[in-house]
Amino acid sequence: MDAQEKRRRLANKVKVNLAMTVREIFDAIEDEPSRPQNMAYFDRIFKTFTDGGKGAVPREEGRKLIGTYCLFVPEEIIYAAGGQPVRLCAGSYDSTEVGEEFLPDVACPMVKSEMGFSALPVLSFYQDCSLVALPASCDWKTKMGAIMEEHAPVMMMDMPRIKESEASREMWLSEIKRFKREVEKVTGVKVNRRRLREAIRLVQRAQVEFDRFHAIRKADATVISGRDALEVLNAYFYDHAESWTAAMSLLNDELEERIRNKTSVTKPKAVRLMLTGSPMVFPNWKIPTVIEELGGALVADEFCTSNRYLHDKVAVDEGSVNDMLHAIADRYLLPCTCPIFSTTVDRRDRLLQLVEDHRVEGVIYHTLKGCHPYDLETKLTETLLRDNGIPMLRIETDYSPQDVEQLRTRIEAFMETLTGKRRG
Amino acid sequence: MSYFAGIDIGSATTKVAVIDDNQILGYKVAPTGVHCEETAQQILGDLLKQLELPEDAVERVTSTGYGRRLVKFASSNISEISANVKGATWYGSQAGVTVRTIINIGGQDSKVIALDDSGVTKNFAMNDKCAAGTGRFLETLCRIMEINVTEMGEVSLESTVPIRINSTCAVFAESEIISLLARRKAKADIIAGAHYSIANRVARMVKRIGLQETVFFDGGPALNCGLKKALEDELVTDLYVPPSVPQVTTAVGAALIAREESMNDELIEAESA
Amino acid sequence: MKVYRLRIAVQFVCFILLVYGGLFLIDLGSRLPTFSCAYMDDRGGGCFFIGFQHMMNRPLGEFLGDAGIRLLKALGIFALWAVVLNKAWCGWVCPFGFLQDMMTKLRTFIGVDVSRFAWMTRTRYKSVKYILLVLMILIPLGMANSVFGLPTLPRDWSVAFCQICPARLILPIFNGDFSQIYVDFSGSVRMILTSLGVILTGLFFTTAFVKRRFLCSYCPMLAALSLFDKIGLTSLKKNGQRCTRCGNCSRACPMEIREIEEEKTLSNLVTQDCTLCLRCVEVCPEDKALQATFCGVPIFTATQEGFLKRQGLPGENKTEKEV
Repeated sequence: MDAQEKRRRLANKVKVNLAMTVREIFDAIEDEPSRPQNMAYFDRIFKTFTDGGKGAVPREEGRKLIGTYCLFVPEEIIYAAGGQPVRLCAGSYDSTEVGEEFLPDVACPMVKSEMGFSALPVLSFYQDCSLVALPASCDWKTKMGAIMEEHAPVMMMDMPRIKESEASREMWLSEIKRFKREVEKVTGVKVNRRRLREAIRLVQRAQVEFDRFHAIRKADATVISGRDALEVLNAYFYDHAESWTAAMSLLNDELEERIRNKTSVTKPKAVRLMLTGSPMVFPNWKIPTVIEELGGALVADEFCTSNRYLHDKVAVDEGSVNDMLHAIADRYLLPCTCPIFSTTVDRRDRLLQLVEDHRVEGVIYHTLKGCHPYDLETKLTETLLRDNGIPMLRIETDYSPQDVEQLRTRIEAFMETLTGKRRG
Repeated sequence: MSYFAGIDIGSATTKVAVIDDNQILGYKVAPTGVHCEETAQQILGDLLKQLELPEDAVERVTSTGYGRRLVKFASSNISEISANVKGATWYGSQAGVTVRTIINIGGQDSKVIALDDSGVTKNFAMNDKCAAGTGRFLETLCRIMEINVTEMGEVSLESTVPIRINSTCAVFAESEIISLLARRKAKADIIAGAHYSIANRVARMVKRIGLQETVFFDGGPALNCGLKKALEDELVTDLYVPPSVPQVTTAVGAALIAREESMNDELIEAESA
Repeated sequence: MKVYRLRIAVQFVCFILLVYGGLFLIDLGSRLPTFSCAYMDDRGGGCFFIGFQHMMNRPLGEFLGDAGIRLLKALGIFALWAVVLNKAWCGWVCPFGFLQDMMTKLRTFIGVDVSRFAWMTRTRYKSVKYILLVLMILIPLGMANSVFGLPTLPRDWSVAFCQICPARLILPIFNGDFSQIYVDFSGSVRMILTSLGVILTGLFFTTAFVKRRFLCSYCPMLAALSLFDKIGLTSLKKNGQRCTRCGNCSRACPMEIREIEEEKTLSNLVTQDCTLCLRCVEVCPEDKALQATFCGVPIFTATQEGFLKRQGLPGENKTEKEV
């Protein structure tokens, strides 16, 4: 068998396994009672993963696809230049085995998964990108660029680790400006004041719906399941901001109706849990599935892939292009709670605020094996939560389904501790 | 013309093959039952009758399989690994295929054998402790879903997206599948999922041993085209299945060894004379 | 609520009141903590500093008598104005501040980008306003007394601050009076001081064009008002836990104050340079992270919703093709 044929067959193997995984998730979810009807729009996006991801990302004639990683790459600039952004962070176990050929075993599974998808044509939007903006956020992402260059048109973006300093902010602003120039080269469209302002508004409109959704999750009744909430935000990776906003608006209307009718997807008195730590990307729904199968209510999360993604807002001040670029640079850097930064006091404040707003009873701190930034944060977070009387469970895992049963036991025990705490 | 026989006594079925100096004459498969030696005798007798050969036509019998030592009338016995390798490489050479890896999925076990460049066993892995990944698992499935074993392959190929079977144990998988049927999931998807589950287990064994092409696939379940497809997907290689005889490859191998040993004896006799 | 629009309206009304009030017989007194320049013939109230400099021009002994009581009264009225509105005098009332804000509006209309200081630069020159304030006390005293054994300062030093203050040259223009734009060659001290006045006026048209509220960073009135920051009834409060340090506030701040973004524990954020323009509260996207208060009662709070409305949402729903 020649190398090309082998490559095609390997891609097929990943594709079949991915299809099975996706199907498994939806078979389980669709059995759940009282799922909001407007989830169908978001389901469709993920179900395309069973068939090469066709139709997940809207492809208008001639619109260039710009791939991004993490949440540091400004989508506003991509939209303003007439491109379509697609976030490529990956959560598939099936492609990690391919990634392992390029990366050491100890690499984080997310990076292995992304590498796998970039090297093999399984999900078409990986191969369709005209530019892939890769911020050098953590060590893995920094090195992944060079390895990925062979398979994708990578543009590395330098990232400061100390955001309090003046020099780092200037460096980041100049990186944003460089990114803008590169995107303009790719799409052939110049980013002018009007286009940039409109793109900022486009994203802000999505954020309006996100804020509504976030407020809905603070209600006493859990009107949407944790998996669905993660799915909805995860869909923003792929969809166009405008269509996502429209779909969210309908979903929010339905959920607000549910709050009025007091329709809950969990039993009354279900334990209120929050997830935080290394991000969970579809189809890595291992832990939320276990939690919800055990009857827990996932009321909040602090992941860069969901709750954090649309939270921070660009503030246009004077309205010139430079002012907007400055605002964009600040928005994507300063409020970010990713633990790659040296001081993470903001992250801890945010966790406390979430616990307070959502009346969280217990926090599950999830680290992926090999994820050093979140690993290093564990003790700080543990101390913070303990000092505030909030129990925390540490889970270190990867994408493989082997440890599901052990996790189930541990999470079940944790939830029982929380119910016990209530009575006590 | 001399005749030789190979008897493969498996825990579920016994396979008998009869060859002459040049070719395979015939083979027969029947359930082993409780008394293996009697069964073996019976099957051999039936086969000879079928081939219109006298009862004592067979010059030498070699037995293999788990019950090989119980066949007293066999002149020799060898491990099923060696017999399988012999049979597989012979079939391979007939078809012009260089066999370097053998996957055998039997009624109650599964093996992966790696061969070196001269066709000698280099390494092997075996799962004989558990029904998962064996023919027994597929039989159970058929029973629950009320379809014929021979239909399984064709039905599974209708599936577009198989359903993943999570249970690693065949007993637990049974309950998992029953619940899937209760939720009205398509049979094709379930069977395909079972195939991928077996393929996954086999792939893990192959990973330990190392895969080298061409891969030979035998044992009864090799007739299952759906299982073959699943294995090909998981292993990312084409499998060679001997046409219509995968179940008896080991028995044929044993017969070939019987012939070889006979020729060796003659040589020794000739030399000492 | 678009606070900056309200603020422009208030600033405009105060400008009319203070620059033209005299025509309507309005007199808010001459102890105002704002640059309602005394050289304006039609003014509706007077800047505190001119009177202050005259009052300080006394032999020290006299402060134990009538002069002292007058000074105390003047300081008392100043203090009263300062405690009630605190820095809002700068952000909402000061006519000179209003003119600088108008320069900024002109600049943004033309489309010229703002110019910012490096952080160290701003920090380094923070003390200038206090030095000017101290000089404003010492120079008049030095005219009537022998300070540190030096000879008393000549009359040329009279109202030294007014001589350099650019508001003196510019504000009377609105009363049709261009006579303050001159260099006084009658003496070397006067020449230097009035030249500085002309130079600062030049800076008003240049640097204050590219930098927001440029001259306010060096303003001794700001320095004097800042003494009341902690006790002012009008205040700016921050809830550190809700703050994400997104930096919108310090970026929008015309005075380039960093503390508003960096502080996580302090609650009262009326810093030295703050003019209570409330731009920070307007651009803050976090619920209740920043709040303007009066006597402790919140009068304007940052909210996610309010933020988005001020950013112009929902706005028109332009389709993809139009973007």
